[in-house]
Amino acid sequence: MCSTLNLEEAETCKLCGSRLKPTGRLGTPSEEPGSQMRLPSTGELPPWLARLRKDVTGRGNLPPDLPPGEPSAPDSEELPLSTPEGGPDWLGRMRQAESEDEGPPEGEVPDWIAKAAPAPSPAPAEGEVPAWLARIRAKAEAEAPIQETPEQEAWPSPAAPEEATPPPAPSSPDLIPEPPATLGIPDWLLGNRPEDSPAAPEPEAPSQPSWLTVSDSDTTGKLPHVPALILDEAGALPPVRDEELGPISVEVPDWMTELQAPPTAAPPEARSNLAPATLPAWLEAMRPVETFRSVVEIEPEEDQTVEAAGPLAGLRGVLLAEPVMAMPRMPTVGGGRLEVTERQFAQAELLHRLVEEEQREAKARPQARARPPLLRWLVSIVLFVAAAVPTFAGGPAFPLPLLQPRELDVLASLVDGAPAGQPVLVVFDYEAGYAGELEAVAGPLIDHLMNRGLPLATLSTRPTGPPLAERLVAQVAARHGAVRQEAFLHLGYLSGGPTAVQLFAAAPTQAVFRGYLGPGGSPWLEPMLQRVHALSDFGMVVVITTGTEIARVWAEQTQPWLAGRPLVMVLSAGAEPMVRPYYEALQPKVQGILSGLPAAVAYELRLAAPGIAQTRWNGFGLGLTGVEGFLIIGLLYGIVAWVLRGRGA
Amino acid sequence: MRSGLHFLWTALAILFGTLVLAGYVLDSPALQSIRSLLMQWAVILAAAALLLGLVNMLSVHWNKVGAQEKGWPYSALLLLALLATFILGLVFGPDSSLLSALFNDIQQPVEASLVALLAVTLTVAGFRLVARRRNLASVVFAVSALIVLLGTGPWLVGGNGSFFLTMGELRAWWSQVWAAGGARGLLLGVALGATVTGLRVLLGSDRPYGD
Amino acid sequence: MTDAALLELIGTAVAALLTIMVLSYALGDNAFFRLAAYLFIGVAAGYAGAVAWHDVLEPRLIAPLLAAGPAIVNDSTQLVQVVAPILLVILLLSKVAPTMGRLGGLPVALMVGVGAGVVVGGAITGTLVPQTLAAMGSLNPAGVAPQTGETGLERLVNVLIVLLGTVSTLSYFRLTGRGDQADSARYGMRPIRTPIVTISIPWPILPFLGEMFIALTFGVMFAGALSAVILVLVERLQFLAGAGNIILGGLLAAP
Repeated sequence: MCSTLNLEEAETCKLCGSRLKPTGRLGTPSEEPGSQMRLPSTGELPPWLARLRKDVTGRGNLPPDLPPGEPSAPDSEELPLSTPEGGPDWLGRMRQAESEDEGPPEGEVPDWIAKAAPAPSPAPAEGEVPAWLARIRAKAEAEAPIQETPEQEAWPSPAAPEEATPPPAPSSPDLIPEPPATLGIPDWLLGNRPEDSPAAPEPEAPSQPSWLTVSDSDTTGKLPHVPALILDEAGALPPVRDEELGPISVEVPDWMTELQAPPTAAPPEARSNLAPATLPAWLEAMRPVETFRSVVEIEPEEDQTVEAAGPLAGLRGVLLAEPVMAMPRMPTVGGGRLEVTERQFAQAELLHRLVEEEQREAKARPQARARPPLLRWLVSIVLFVAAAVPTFAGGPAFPLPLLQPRELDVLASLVDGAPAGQPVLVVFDYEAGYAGELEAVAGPLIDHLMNRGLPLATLSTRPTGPPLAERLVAQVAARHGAVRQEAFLHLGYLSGGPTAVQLFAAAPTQAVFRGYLGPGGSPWLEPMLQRVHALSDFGMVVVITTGTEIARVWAEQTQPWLAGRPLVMVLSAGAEPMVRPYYEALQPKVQGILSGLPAAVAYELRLAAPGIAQTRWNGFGLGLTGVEGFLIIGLLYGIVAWVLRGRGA
Repeated sequence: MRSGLHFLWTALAILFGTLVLAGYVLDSPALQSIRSLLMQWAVILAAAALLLGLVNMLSVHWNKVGAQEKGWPYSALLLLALLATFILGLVFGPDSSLLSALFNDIQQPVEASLVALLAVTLTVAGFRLVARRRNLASVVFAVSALIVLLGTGPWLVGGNGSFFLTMGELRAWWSQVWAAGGARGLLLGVALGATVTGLRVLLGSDRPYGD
Repeated sequence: MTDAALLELIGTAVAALLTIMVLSYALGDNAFFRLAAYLFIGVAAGYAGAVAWHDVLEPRLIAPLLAAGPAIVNDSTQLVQVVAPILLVILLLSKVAPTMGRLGGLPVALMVGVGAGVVVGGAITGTLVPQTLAAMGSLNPAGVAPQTGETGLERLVNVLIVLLGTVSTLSYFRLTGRGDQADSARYGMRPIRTPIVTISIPWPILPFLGEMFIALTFGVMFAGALSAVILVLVERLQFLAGAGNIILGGLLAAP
């Protein structure tokens, strides 16, 4: 009942004193634990037992499904079978822990109880024996004269005839097997059992009650009982036997049966081959040391609470319904010691130092004094002087280029081949800041176009384009006596970037609604543009720009609509490499390129019309010389420093 | 509502872009008419977007002046110049003499001077590049720049001599052949990137127009 | 001195003063430079806004609307070309207010969609296909350079250099969607053991050559940019010289 492990021959529990074997049963050592027990009928039982049964089970009669061969007991008394639904019948018949008071009345002690043999070996001193053991021993001594007689009644079976006699004494010396050589267990602990019990009796012995016999021939006389959950040092649980438990279910664990078994000495050869098991270090390290209570402490009997409700009312040592974990309790002494490795310790120290540093107040660093930009001052002075000297002092004079670039011939032929009378579209798509360069570079081309008498229509996709166009064209036109709105006009500003270029290329008259410096109406109504309805109606398209993006947009968006009309690019020197691929393709999208001051000077020389380009030639040459000097000095400095560093290394 | 408008804008952007793109390959009068109409609307909206940018600039500097943040007098000057120029331009027109004077006497000189300052900046940057960074790409960059500079500008000594002419030929071969190869690769790469970016918008992967 | 001459003198003086204020940045950042810069930004922004209104919005939207009046609703062409853009502009300007900003998605979607179509169409038909065909066609041994007239071995060598530059530069680019490869090295150094010495060569070779061609091209562009800004500096200094002459002449000429 309290799930305490008891000896096989024990008749009562050493802890709670409950009866382990049914009264009158001829317990045989050959019985297996948990073997089917045959209950005597109510009429066969002594009155006190029958009374107990009735109180516990709630019914007087045994269930009809008793195994065959067992005499069924007459229903002398109704024994209540208050078993739970579907629960084993034996649960309803469990006796209470304090069964001492309900023990058999005087004179009706079963013979098998009376025949309990006394302990042959001297018991230890009284002071060393626990109280519960003393009680059991006392009882055993009291029952020692009682000897088993062969005339014991067997447990009644349904088939066998029953006699309304007190259950016979438990196993006689013939029925109880000889206790095997105990492996260290003192005899006084085994005193419950009669030591001089002979070999296991046969289950069908007529001298014993049938209910004491075991019908299962495979049983070896072990009483079934539920082992207590006691974990030894190795932490091994007793094996759970998958077997039916009898009415008095007391399971004998294997270690108990092994203790009873005759010692079978293993051959020395086999034993020497077995090395003692050792746990590997990593496995040993995983064991939670001192965090697990290896031994469940069992309170003494008198300290255990008595269950007050339910079917286990009145019993001691009942497992609590609440989980132990829910009960607040102090942690065990010395539990949870953290094992820290050296590496973890070092990392923790590092983290601690990092946090400490963060909390420390940072010292204010003295602000570094700003060094004067000597290099920038030197470069500024050199370049300003180089660019200004030719202007203010007139010299030095750089020789004008003798050779003309190949692109200039192509460009000049394009201008010379432009159809007369058809206006030329000139796009001014550069920033006001680059007017100084592009006015010098584009000036000769505008001059050439005006020389040929070609009307010019300017356009821009930038808001500052129209005034820039007016600056350059008006300046050149003044030299030729050209009049605005007759020789040139401004179409104004076209917003939208690439979309505007595509719109103008597809339908120019739908893209521009108002000109710049015009009479106020639509510029398409002016005489010079009256015959222009599409992009191909222009004789040539000239794009003046500094950015490669603008040049690429005009080259991509206008080609399908030009219908063979030439597209000329006037570029800043830095943008020429990115436009060159359009010019040198097998089907070029750009038919003419003019880039850089040298090409503009050469153009002016070709036209024999000195212009802005030549006035800036000397300053350009001297300034460029200054830049080249700085780059060469820097290169030499870098080489020397590299050589010296290499030698030093 | 938010997600519905978002999908609507995406669908419309894809539709408009597809119509415009189709006009490059299909020659249909109806398609060209729709395409032209869409582009006209885009051109008008671009001008309106410029005005919207102006309003944004106005509000930023207005808040700066109102909060008297660091440098607020400069923001006040900017606001004064912006409003004066814009109002004068609305009243008299950008092609009036007043606006032309503002452009020729303030905007163009300052912008040109800023570009002129680049001469100092680029020269200092070039010097530091060749003097401090010593890897193969920097060396190739510097040598290439020197070849073009020496072949472009006139020489004070030996100008128009044989060495100068040889340098000119070298400069032409260097910039028109060697640099042209790299430039063509760069152009193709830029065109590929622009195509991918545009296709992302046309396929709805990129939605820069918000919700 | 006439008023026009006076105004021109004042304008020249202001331009010269602003030029000096900006060029003073060569010595270091200072208040004069900032003053000139902020003034420039304000004037440029105002001018751009005035041009956008005067050249685009007013002639396309306001003038036709005012000219047609209420009858504009009866003209389908005007409805499409005037009324619809006006509504779109209003929707776009509504983005100023955050609560109304949702409706501004329509005009933005239109601009973005149309712009994307234009860019993609232009890139494919204007650059990708023609440049690829040009690269392929240049390998024709019988071809003649159209602009330079080169033939024979000279042309062949030039074509091979251009082709090598094109292919190696393209191989240097990595147009992938994987962000983890954006900054990884395109090539590494592989040691080659020879009987005498072990030398390291870049591998794979094409991205290395591409990097060199890109550096070469950027060097050429850098030189071109230097040439351009030197020319602008010369122009500014020449302007200052001329402005000085004008101012001095004007001051001397003044009674």
